[in-house]
Amino acid sequence: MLTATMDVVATIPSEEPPSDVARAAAGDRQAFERVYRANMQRVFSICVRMSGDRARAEELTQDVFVRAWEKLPLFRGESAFSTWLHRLAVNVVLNDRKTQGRERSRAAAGDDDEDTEESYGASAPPSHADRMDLEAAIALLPPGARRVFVLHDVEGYRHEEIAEMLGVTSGGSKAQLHRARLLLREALNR
Amino acid sequence: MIDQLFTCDQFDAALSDYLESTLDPAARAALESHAARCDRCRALLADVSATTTAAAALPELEPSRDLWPGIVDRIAAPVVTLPVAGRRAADRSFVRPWYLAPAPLSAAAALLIAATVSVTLLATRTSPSGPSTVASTGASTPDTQSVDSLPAIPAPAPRVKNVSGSKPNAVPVQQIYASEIAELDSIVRDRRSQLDTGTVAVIEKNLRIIDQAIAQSRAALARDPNSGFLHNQLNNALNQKIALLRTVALLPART
Repeated sequence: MLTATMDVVATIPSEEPPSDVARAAAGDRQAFERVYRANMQRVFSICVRMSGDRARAEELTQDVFVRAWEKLPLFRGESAFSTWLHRLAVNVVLNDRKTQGRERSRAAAGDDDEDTEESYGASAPPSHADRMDLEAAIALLPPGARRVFVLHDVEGYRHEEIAEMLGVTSGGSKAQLHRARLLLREALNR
Repeated sequence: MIDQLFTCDQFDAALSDYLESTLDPAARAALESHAARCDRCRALLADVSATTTAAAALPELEPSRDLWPGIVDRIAAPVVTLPVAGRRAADRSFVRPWYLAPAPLSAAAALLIAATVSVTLLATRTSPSGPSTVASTGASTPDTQSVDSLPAIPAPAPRVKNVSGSKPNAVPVQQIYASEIAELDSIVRDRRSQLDTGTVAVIEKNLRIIDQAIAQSRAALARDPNSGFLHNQLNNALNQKIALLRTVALLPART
């Protein structure tokens, strides 16, 4: 049993307090709370920026950590814990989009994958003379462009990784990114 | 030279590759040369570059409320804590979860599941109105809280890995799950009249949700029997059902 214990601890990357991730994987909720406190802001930030909805992002953040708790015993340390958690957060947000997409009437205008510049313009009317800040402008991007922009320019994923996550081509990811950047420029310069 | 080939449209088309440093050196030089001579494209390059730089440096955000209570409510361990099990839980902090142990230990643990049924029966029958002391749920209940003051109630059913038919020990474990669920169902049916109707409604709703999850996992496993994820999902659902039934079996009667 001691050998097994050492195996678990040894796989935890040095960036995360080893004892907390290992303890959480073994069922220690207090350790898991410390893991949560250490990573909560980053996970919440991903959820906010990808969903464009702070209230929904709070629910998604909770979903991410519940999923992390369930899956932690399977985390074998092939990647850094923060990378593993980050990818889990992205998957939770993307799955939420798919679930919500199924639940919504597909007849409704503004489907995620069919978002248009018109929808951006309609949803982002500048209400005052002040320039919109970047955070607000990202939130108002069409969903498809927003996800690619956040994953690429904010989170640093490569187009190949984004294409795999979103089920699009690498070229499609590049096109969405270019479109997002131009829309942001337009919004920020209003 | 080459930059003379660059129009504004070509500049636009090459801008993303330029920002991602995937342009070859000649095209890169041509784009920069064009930007130096074209006000429109120079401004575009400056704006987009500034946006991407700012995006990479965005600060982390803070939720408007503490999200932990909502998380811990959802991951809370089963309600009743056994004195010995409680201490064991505290001691296993550095230990690989038992359900990740090799198959022989999994089989032994499966037998342990069966043992919990008879002890649960004993606990409920020795006190017709249900146990007098039950640990509360929620974040404020540490795993080891008040363990010495709790009655000798069986430990929560251990989590079991790989219960489907694809593993050597799978069939017996599956049978044990079915057997325990049937036994606990029987106890819960007997206790139903002692419980608050609102509580019963919540319990039944949750059981329906768990049963749906079990059915979905089994259907998915029929299509993809080697999926570790699906095995894990099924195990989790079965363990949730056992934990809920045990909790109900040990709930105090309504006052």
